[in-house]
Amino acid sequence: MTSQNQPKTSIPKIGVYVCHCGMNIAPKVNVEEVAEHVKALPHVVVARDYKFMCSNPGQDMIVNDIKELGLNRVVVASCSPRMHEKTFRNALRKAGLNPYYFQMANVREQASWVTKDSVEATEKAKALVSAAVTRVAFHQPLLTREVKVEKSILVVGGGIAGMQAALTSAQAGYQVYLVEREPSIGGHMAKFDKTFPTLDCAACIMTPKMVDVYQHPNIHLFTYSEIEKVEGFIGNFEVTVKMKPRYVDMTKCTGCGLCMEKCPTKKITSEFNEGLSKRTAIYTPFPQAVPNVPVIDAENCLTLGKGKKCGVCAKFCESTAIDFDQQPEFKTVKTGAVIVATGFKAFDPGSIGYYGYGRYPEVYTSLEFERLNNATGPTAGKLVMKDGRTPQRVAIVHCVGSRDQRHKKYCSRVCCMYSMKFAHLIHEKTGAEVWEFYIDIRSPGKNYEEFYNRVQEEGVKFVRGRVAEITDMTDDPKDRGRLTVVAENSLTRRTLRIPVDMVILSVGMEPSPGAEDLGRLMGVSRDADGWFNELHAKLAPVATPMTGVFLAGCCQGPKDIPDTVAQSMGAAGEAIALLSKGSVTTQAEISNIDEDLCTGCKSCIAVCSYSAIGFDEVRRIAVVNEALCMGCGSCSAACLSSAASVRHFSDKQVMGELEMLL
Amino acid sequence: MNITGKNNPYSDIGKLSHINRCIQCGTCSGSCPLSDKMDHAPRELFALIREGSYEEVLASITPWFCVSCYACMVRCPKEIPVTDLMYAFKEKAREQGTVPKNLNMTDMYDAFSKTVKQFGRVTESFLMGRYGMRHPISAVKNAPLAVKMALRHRLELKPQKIENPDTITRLYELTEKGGE
Repeated sequence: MTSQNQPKTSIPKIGVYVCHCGMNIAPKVNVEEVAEHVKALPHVVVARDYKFMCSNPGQDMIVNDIKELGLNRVVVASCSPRMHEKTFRNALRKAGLNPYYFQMANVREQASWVTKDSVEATEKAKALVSAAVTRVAFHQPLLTREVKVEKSILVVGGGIAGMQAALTSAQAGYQVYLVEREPSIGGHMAKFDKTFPTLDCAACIMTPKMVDVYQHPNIHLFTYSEIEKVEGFIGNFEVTVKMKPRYVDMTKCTGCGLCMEKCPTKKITSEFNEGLSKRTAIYTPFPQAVPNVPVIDAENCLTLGKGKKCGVCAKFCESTAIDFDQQPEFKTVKTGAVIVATGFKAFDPGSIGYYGYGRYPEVYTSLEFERLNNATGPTAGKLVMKDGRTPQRVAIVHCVGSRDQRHKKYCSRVCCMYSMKFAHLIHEKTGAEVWEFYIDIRSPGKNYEEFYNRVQEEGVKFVRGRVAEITDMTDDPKDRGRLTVVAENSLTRRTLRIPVDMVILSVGMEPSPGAEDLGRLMGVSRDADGWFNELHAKLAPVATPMTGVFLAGCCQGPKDIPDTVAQSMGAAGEAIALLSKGSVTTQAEISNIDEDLCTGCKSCIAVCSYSAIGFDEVRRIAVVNEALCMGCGSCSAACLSSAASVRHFSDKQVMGELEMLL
Repeated sequence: MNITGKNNPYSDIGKLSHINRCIQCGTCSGSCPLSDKMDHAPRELFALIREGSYEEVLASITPWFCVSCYACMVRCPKEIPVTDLMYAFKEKAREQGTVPKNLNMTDMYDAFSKTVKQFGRVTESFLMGRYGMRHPISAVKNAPLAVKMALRHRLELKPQKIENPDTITRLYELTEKGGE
């Protein structure tokens, strides 16, 4: 930054501007009275009130006063600094004043909006503005600096969100590291059969993307890996990735699949097929896995887990890729930005006893149904019940675990649409009668309502009522062996007891189980439901309060594939925008250690979370690395000799402010 | 009229504010074993309250058919205390005298309550005897069953008492005075 420096000893000449904010501040707070009140304070040269300080005329007023009255300090009493601090600092810069000679008093969120009584609100505003005036007198000019950034992006999670973010970033020429916990990328979308509302085959649109990710020269793929450690700051993160042992040498394996054929342990529940089929101990989750290199499930492997002399896979492997001695490997990568795309986990309906999931074999979750209906699934796409018969009547239960205060209070957004997709597919494949039990149909998306209408036209029976119970007690003896779905049709006010052959529970979404740990590593907070917090619900939906960390896909909240892809491209775009300049401006409010006062006790070094303080062995004092310091103030609190302080938050400034407030 | 508003004369009905959360999903009605006998499904009562039709709710036979199985309350996704509200509706209907006429079960409630007040517990012969005084036809109909039960020693003719029945009587008096 090139703003001119004001001499430190300048006598303060303060201008105070009280904003009406239209009808937001003015009628509640008597703005004229506030302006009049602060005029009496020391060093105040001018105090005005104006309708909209943030408008161009408002800003020009400040610029003119600085030039004409020779102001060297400015206070604006208006909204939150998060809203307009930048605006007014820029006005100061425009007038040739160091932007840190500015202080904002928040008389909207902290006075007019939250105080009922007009007199009280005015009194509070006076106190807030007086505090700002006292504080600004002690302000020092500060400088920001440019720091070089690493032109690479790390993406956590290899589902459709992570893959898309990685591809967009890689296409822009950035080095991308994509970290996926599972043995293959693909995520949930790889499990789906068709996708609403256009009914494209998920595999057909997914597998080419997976191959693109694998083959892109700019993408380095870490599968079967997790984030171990995150250090550094915006533009200069250092992330340690833990690569779990596959027990298969990726450089040697040709993906022939002979090991999987020969492995004697064949009865392990397949995670990918949602428990509906079995797999071997050495396996790839699905035939189109990327990379097409199997992993050994150490727990179930005879050699690794049970300590037996098996080694069949190693004997048959012609490229000698099997390596039972593999250990976890750790690799540290430097990255400028991080995109978190850890996705979701399907709600487990086992906790809703009255739906009988886990008790009745013909009650399926939606993900199980996706596999059952999938050409690569356990029945090769043939839609049959566990006994091999084709269902005659199927019930689809909406809102399982969603919109439920006992489980997930939010709407999971995708269940209505995929439920109707199921109805269509069942109808198409088997001709079975399909009943949809819904509370409200939520189809807000391009061509979504049209899809709803299409399914209605196909003769699917929609019942407005949440299912109260699923039971194997049948009313009619000839229905024995079937399930009965009990629900009130709230539009006819009749309780229905419908005998069906198969029930699909449209389960909602919950955050991925690793999100909590990752949030802690990254310093990204989560909301009450466990979803990652975006910086601003409307205007910064992919950024996080941790600068340089962005969000993509369901880790931020439930969303469908089109929204996920759009957000992923948005996150990649934000990351690229951040890094493309090659440098970022660091904040000026960072730690400052007074060389004369420092006793070299190293207390500050111990408390610094950003490893930003080093020790000068020659002078025996602590030294701040300005590029790493985030200005959190821990060192200032820990310092025993008052040597450490945070710029813009000196004792004089803070105490001066407090004195006027109390 | 706002459910929790100051000018709502019915705002003293217990737990009424919970109804604001209702999404009319029908889980309560679907779970109710007696929903088909009721003039309004439990869900409908909440819709009526929200449109301000309190009189209709308090004259409804629905709360009187509630058997307190609590299935609705356990399943309600919005955690509305449906069964508790049914009790509150009955209480209010009784207080303002809008209990539906020709409902035998209100006499059963009375007979049950009086028997417990007197002895501290229920003795079938006394309960049915009291009820039979109001409904002689029903008493005659039930007589053969009573004889059958008596022959199998399943009908106690002597009143069964708890040790200090007056403690229960005192409890009754306290609640009737409006205590908690």
